[in-house]
Amino acid sequence: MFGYLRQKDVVITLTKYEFKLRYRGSIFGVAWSLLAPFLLAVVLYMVFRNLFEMVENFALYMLVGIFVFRFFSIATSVGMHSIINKSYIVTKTNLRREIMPLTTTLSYSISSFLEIMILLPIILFFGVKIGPSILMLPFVHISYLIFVFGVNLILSALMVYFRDLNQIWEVIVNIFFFLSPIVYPKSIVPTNLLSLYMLNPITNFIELYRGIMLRNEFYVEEYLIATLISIITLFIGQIVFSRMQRRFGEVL
Amino acid sequence: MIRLENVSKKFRMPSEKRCTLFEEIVSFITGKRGYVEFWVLKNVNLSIRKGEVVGITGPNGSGKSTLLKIIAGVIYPDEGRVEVLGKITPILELGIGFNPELTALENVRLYGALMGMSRKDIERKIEEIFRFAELEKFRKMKLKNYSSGMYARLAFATAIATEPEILLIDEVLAVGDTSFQKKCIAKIKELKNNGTTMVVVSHSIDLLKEVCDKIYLLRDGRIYSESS
Repeated sequence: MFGYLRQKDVVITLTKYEFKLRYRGSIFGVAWSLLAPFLLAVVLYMVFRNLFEMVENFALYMLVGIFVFRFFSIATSVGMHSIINKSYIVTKTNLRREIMPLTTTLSYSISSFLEIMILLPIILFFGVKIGPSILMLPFVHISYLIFVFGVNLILSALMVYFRDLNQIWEVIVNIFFFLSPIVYPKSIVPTNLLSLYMLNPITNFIELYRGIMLRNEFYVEEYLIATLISIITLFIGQIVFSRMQRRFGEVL
Repeated sequence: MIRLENVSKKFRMPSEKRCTLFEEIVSFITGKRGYVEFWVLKNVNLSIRKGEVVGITGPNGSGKSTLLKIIAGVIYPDEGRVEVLGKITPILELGIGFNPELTALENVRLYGALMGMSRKDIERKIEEIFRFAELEKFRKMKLKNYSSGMYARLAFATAIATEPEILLIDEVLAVGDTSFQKKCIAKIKELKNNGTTMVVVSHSIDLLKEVCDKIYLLRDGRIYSESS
């Protein structure tokens, strides 16, 4: 079922060139891509800062939330096109088709990891101490990556048959932005709705990154739940993809 | 070894192209079927032994490429069984995934990976690929500055370097100028002598007669045997 994960060479090569072509080797390319989330953070900070004075370091709190959410929003909105944009590979080679959403997810996860690393000096600048729990960051990121890959498997397969899915998905991503504790603290969610609220897996991930980066805490239980959800998402994604991919060769 | 038993493939020819969720919902409610069905392949039986070279010819739209894609596993048959033993390398088109913004060397690595070569094998074969393509001097050049002939030569040289057990070739046997075409055919014969199983699709009967053990004719989705 996951046999393609053993085809390391082609995955590494495709990811490498996808990453390379995205930035075209220019350091400015990276800088430009960071401008948007920082500006968004500034605007949202202006709007919400008086509302949530009880949150310590609200600017950093929001910044981490935005950067963590960004991986999900960008990697899925690009990843959902990974099959239709590489239709020539699907119709002309016998490469396992899961590899296309996989390499897109991987290359964006690398970008995202670097972006989150850029936040560290900013966090230090604001006087927050970063402790040894930072070592858990890669593990959280891998768990998050598995979740995004699972979502991309579903989206990229559906996209082959429903070309207007990207319009719908854009709206869904926006809804998720406000259903996640990015611009407000989790504590404002009514307790009777909290269990429903926590069904959003991104909430868990945002809290995990924040714990590590701003409070030097690693929440083991939340991590295990998040990882379990990621793995379940991956299995569902794989099943959906396997069923839908049979007709890719004709439809594309 | 390749064996096809009663393989049939139905294609849906859309009478109206429907590819959005919105259109899908509309037609579900109105109950209209937006396509006509027709059989591209009907009860195709084919058995190819290891090391055998088989040619397939036939008029346009007779199902040659579809047959090759079914063997390659790109398309699944609606009826019948396909059995393939060995690692397949399909060359259905040359230079898949070639990116004009990358250099020739990078493109060889990318294309080689897509054709199923390991990174180690690619590095080992790079010299050979550029020598065969006669492009040693243009390794670092971006592909967008290549002429179409150079492009085809590089693609063919890379594709053929994969050391396939089973090679499927769709109309790409001879590219470039006459002398390079001769080289391509010589290379195919060399692979044949090394025991590579091959299925070659072409319109050129002369070319097929030169390299194939057996030639089949495909017409209206049915296969006919022809002595070679």
